[in-house]
Amino acid sequence: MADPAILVENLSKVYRIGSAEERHETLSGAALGLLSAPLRNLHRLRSLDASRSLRRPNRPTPNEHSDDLLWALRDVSFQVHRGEVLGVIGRNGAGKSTLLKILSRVTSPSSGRVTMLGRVSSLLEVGTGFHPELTGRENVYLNGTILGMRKAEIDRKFDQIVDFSGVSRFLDTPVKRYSSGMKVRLAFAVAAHLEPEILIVDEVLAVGDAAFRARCVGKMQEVTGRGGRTVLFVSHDMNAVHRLCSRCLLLGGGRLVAEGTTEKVISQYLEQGAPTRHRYRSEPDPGRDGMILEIVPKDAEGQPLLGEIDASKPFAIEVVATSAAEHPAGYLTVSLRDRLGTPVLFTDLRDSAPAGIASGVSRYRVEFPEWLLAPGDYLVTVGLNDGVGGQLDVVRNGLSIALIDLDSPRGGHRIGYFGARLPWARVVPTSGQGTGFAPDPPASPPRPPDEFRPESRPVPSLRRS
Amino acid sequence: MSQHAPSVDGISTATSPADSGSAPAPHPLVIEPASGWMPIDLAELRDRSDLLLYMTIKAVKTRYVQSALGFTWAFIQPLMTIIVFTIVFSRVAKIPMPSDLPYPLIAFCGILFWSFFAQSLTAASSSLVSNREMLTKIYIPRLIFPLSQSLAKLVDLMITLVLLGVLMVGFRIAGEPVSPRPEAVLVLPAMILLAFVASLGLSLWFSALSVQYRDVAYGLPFVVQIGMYLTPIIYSTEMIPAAIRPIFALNPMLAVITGVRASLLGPPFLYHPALLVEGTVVAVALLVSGAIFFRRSEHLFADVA
Repeated sequence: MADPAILVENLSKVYRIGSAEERHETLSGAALGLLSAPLRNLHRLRSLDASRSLRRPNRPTPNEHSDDLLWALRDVSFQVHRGEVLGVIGRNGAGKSTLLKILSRVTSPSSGRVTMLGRVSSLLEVGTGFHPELTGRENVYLNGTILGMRKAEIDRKFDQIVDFSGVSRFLDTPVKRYSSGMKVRLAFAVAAHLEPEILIVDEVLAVGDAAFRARCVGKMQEVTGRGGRTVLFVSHDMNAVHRLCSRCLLLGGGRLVAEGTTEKVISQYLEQGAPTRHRYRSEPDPGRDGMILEIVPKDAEGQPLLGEIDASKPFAIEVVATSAAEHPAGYLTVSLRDRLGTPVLFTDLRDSAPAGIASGVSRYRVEFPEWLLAPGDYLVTVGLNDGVGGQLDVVRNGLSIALIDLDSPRGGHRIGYFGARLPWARVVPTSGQGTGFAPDPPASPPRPPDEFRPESRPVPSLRRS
Repeated sequence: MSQHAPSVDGISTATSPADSGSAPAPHPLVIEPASGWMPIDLAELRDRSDLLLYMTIKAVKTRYVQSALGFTWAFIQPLMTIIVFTIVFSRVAKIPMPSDLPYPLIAFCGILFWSFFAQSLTAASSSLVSNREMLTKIYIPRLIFPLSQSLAKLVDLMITLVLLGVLMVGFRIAGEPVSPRPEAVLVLPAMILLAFVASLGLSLWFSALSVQYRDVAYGLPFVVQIGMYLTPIIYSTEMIPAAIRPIFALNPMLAVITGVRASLLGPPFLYHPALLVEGTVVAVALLVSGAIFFRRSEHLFADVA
């Protein structure tokens, strides 16, 4: 743990969300309420300071509700090393923005502490502080000093900034006459010429067109590539995070959910909202006509497969379902989707067995041959139908199965959904038989095609996005 | 850093923040929850003096932008006020001034400083709320918002002081006995400073309060209007009964205008040292308490604005 640039210890931030307005049932109640409104308002406005109630936890105010408090960040600790580019990802409301706001000192934490070693600059939004009535030149100086530069520093870099922005002709025009693209370019040019030791960046890449975004990422890479620069980068753009960051934090519900290499954390992020369980179970509900009680993948010997599944071996998905009545036309369906929700495969009991759901608990089984599916994660959806237009139960994305390829040269690096081993052959052209399939077996035994092995590992979790 | 023990999730927790000193820490910036009383960070303010400069320039430049008269407005407003005041209070209401000097000159000394005070107070008090975009997106020393607004109004005051000078020279040429006391060279800057301190002090209170309570924005115009009549602008300090003068002098602008008139217009306008001291004490108390209150509520600004 050598040389941390940012040290975050048990950081928490609590906000107070406004509670519902009081309602009055009677006219006199409403009149009384109106009279006491200023006092109540005063109390409400005072209580906007959430730290007040934290400071004195044992002295609750009269209308104190714990559900009135929103923990935007709860007990988050991590370190960023000098020269490291750390990505922060998470869904909306995960606490990313709050974290960045605390780190850039826009807001102060409710508890915990942050220690930063080095000059800090934050780009929470490019162009903050731009004034439409001022000229481009004046805004460069204003924005530059807002971002923490000194006048002498801006003087020195002024030509570079103008060159980068490409708005040199309009320097003495009020910024309000700029196109939005010009404004963003000028703002980013100022920001790009900051030389902090610690840079905090949030969604800068969300603005502008694709070409500009590419240029921003390029500039960021250049900046971070020079070394010594510590960057905290927050974005929803997983590709940008992956390109820029070596390590990543995943926030969820204000807590630190995961921390590790970018690849690992991004795949975990993509899994959020989808189950990672490998077995689905549900308690029987006597009030229902039919129910799916259990879904579990099993191997050829009938043993449950609760971890990764070897794609080179056949496996089965077993479904335990109960039905109050017999449905002679009833059937089950099983469908697989990938992590992004794209349908991959759909199969129906009636494809290979007679229709019919017996009353009571029954066990169904659908078999998947070896090498049917490409290695990867699939989500399983199972439906139970009575066969006359009614759906008795459906379990959407009830479990995930992870297929891995342990024995082919490509391993898991295979795009698409099919895993079938197709017959390959080296076709040696002989006289008169230059085209068509070779009738003879190849002269040499088949060897793995070494030249097609990937040079570098692509990101497994991104390969289909 | 052996003190940093990894915890179960692989999250490192510092067990001892006070390290043995192996890391070269040039300026460790520590962010912690706001804790009650903290002094104003003057070193930080000095570091960001260029920012203060550009924020002030922005406030000055953007005021009269895209208006045909531009900076002339800075002259027109006090000039029109003085004409109206002269007609209403001197000709219609016939307020007797202790001096034989022309009424416009006497009133102008008061109006100039009062309008600086009022404008500075109004602009600075709303500076946090009107800059909430910036306040919630980026950190700059928050004090810069009201401070730059007050400084910008100070620029206006300087411009209108030139107008006062022209007026004085004009009346003198016209044969009026305009004779500033020699110590005006020192007294005038001191009074400008006093007016600045008073307006900034009150602005710090109001700007911090208005973030949480918008009532300030509604109440402030009344305070300014009532304050104008409680300040010797259309009348003179000497006309206030001596017994209640100390109460009136709780308003620091009374001291400012008394000092300005005594130094620039001479007798019968007097310094009233006791009133000057009282006003100064109040102004300094406002500034110190305002700064403390501002600092204390600063941590809330971004969350509540």
